[in-house]
Amino acid sequence: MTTALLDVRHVSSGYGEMVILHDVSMHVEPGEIVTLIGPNGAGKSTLLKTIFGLLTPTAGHIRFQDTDITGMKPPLLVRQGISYVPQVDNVFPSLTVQENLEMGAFVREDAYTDRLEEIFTLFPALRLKRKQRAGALSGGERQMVAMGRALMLDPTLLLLDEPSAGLAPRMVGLVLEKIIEINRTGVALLMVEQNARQALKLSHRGYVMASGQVRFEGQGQHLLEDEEVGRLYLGGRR
Amino acid sequence: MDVSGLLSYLVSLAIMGGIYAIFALGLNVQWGYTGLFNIGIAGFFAVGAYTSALITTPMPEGVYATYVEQLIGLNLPFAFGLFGAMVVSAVLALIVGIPTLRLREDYLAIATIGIAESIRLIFNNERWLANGPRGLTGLPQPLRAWVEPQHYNYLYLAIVLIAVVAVYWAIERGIRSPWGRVLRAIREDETAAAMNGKNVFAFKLQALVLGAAIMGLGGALYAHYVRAISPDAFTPLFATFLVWVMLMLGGSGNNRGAIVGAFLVWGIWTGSTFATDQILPPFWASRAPYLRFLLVGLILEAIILLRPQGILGEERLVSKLLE
Amino acid sequence: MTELLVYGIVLGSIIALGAIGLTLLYGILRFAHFAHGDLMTFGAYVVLFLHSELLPWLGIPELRLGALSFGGRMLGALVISMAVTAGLALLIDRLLYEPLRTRKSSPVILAIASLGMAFILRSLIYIVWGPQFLFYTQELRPAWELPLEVRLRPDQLFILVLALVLVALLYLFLQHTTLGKAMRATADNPQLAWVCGIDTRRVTAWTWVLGAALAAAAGVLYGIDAQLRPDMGWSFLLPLFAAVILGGIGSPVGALVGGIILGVVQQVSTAFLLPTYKPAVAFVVLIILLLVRPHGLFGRTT
Repeated sequence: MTTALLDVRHVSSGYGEMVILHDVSMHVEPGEIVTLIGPNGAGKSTLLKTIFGLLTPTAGHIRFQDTDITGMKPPLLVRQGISYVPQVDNVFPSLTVQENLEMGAFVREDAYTDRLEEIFTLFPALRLKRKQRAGALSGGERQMVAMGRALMLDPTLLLLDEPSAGLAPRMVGLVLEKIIEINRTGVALLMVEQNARQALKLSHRGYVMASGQVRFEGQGQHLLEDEEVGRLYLGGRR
Repeated sequence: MDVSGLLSYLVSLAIMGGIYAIFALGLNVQWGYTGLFNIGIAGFFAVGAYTSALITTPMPEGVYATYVEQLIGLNLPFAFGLFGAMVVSAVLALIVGIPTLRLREDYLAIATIGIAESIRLIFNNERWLANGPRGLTGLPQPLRAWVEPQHYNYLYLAIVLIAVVAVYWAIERGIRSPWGRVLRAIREDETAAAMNGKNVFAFKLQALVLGAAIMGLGGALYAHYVRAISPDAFTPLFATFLVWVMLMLGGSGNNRGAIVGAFLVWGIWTGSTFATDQILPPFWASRAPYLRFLLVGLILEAIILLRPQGILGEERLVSKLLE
Repeated sequence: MTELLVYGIVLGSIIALGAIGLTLLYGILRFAHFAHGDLMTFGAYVVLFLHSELLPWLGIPELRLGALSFGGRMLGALVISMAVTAGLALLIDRLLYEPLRTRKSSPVILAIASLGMAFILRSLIYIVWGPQFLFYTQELRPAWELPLEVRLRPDQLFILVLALVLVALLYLFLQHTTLGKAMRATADNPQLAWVCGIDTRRVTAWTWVLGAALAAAAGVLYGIDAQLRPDMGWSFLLPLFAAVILGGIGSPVGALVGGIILGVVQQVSTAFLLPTYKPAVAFVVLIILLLVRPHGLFGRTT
């Protein structure tokens, strides 16, 4: 038995007849930040979606803490302590910031007001805009709302799909800072990132994927310094 | 019931079945092959019937004119009536299609309901058009001189069956042509078809218009069979819903399915008329038409839940992608 | 003309009640519910049964309410009818639409199924009550004479007030309850709602309950104002859809505004056209709308 928080073993998955992931194995330790990098079409987002039950694997197993969560659907997974932030369409545009966060707490049986306060402390900019419609916010602010929403449930593991996508460079830095802050509260993060360099810098470990398989694995710093990884996957990226 | 009675019953069954088969074939072009959601069949049905009536009857004169008003009365032969019915029905389809086909499919549906309702209201209230609620009577029948009156229906049946075969053949040819392949590609995956450079709107409009022309033909054949038409013959239940059930039961996307479904559902319809008239006590007998509609509605839901592809199923696609 | 305007608003509030339910179903369930008009009819006839048969049979007397043509018993019947219609809608959803959704049937198949349901409901009403016009009461209540030559029946004022009350209650529900917010969230982004763990079954059920209850109320109010006939709901279908599209699909506020506008336009049209043409007027409004601004007043340009 492993002590890993999330344990993905020999998973294959895809869309209908199109197989994207081939025999992928990886894991996340408690409290870690793990980043998935690789070229487009490598299957990184597909892996996140498979873990979160948006896709059902055709082979392999996924364990979370001590539970087999293979193919488990999102409403159950959020109760297990996993939250997911999609890359696009990740807020409710016609709801206010506060209502978006409240939706994140939908499955909580207790009062969520304390947690709401904690989230506003983590994202002070959102406190100011709590009554604004989420659709009217800037890209960076929406990303904060999306992450805040996912954190309302006090997850043990947070899945992030390209959190910095489409953001201005200053916002990218801010988002990545927030990710470190979130991690400091004890939440493990598994994220897909195109800004490979910056992401690896703050990650404990990383996986390099290509063509639906894991090619490299290692400490974040080591992957950054690795020549081959740099040549193949980090060249030209910030 | 004696043999000749039974025979004439079967003949009228077959005539109506054939007429409905034509409607089902028209709907198949629109829905079965192109995915257009037309729930205003009653409108095209009515327009076809009335156009043919107005073209083939003379303007009322003398004493007659005090009872009957109509817009035109060309007193032309039967074939002109059929042709006119198809043309006017096609024009109606253009009117409905142009604003709606670029938009969501349910907008077309609502628009077709609207046009059918509007047509019914206009024909019912504008006496100068086609005699309002009393409708037009004494519609001529072609080739009456060829047979004795008691055998005329056999002749009409032959006419209807020829029409069914002709429409069937025309659609079959059309659907296997490059034009037809585009229609089916549109139904399968509209975005892919558009990305292949096809003018999706134009194709949809053509399918809508063609289907409507076929329905107009059906309407005209109906009018000359029953010889008297009025607006309440073209209700949504009788003229739109029944055709949908026929196509869904037989198999949408399948011409043979359309024909089979039409005869089958019409058989159930008239057969149950027979049963209810004979069996039910007076109170229920007056409710019989509604019982039959309930039955037909339940059949539709059963098909959708249990066998959505219908009895014969959809034809295997001629080709999935465009060349 | 003012009188037409006033009555148009009354009619419009009835249309709005139906349109709001329809737009909720459109926005949250992505479903063109062609049986919505017939739910209105169903609700109206249930009240007829309760008010004219069951409740008197149970010995419950009518409680007169001032100048209105009906009383407390009628209101009780209305509430019961809203609940019964909601229950019916839930049953239909469980038996018919849910299996289709699970099977990932296309929206058009769902729409066809709802069309079938419309005809089934209408046939049932024809079977039980027959095709003739029916009325809740044979009493005639005199109209009030208001300034500007407007004559308003007390019943009509009641309709307006009740409609507004129901709309206000719905608004409070959608804005201030968790479930209401979950419904708005699902309308915005069903996938994300699922990802958050929002219970889509509960959201679906409540959407039907609210939509059907409002439809029943609309049907009853129309019955109070005019008459009951089995195809009354079907003739409302065009104004309902026109109001929804005018207001922007998925927007309850839009449906309210759209409903009132449609009511007024339809009523004003009777100055030039026969009243039976009202559905056709709604149709013309719809076509103009589709040509000019298909996403409506408050809709999103997706």
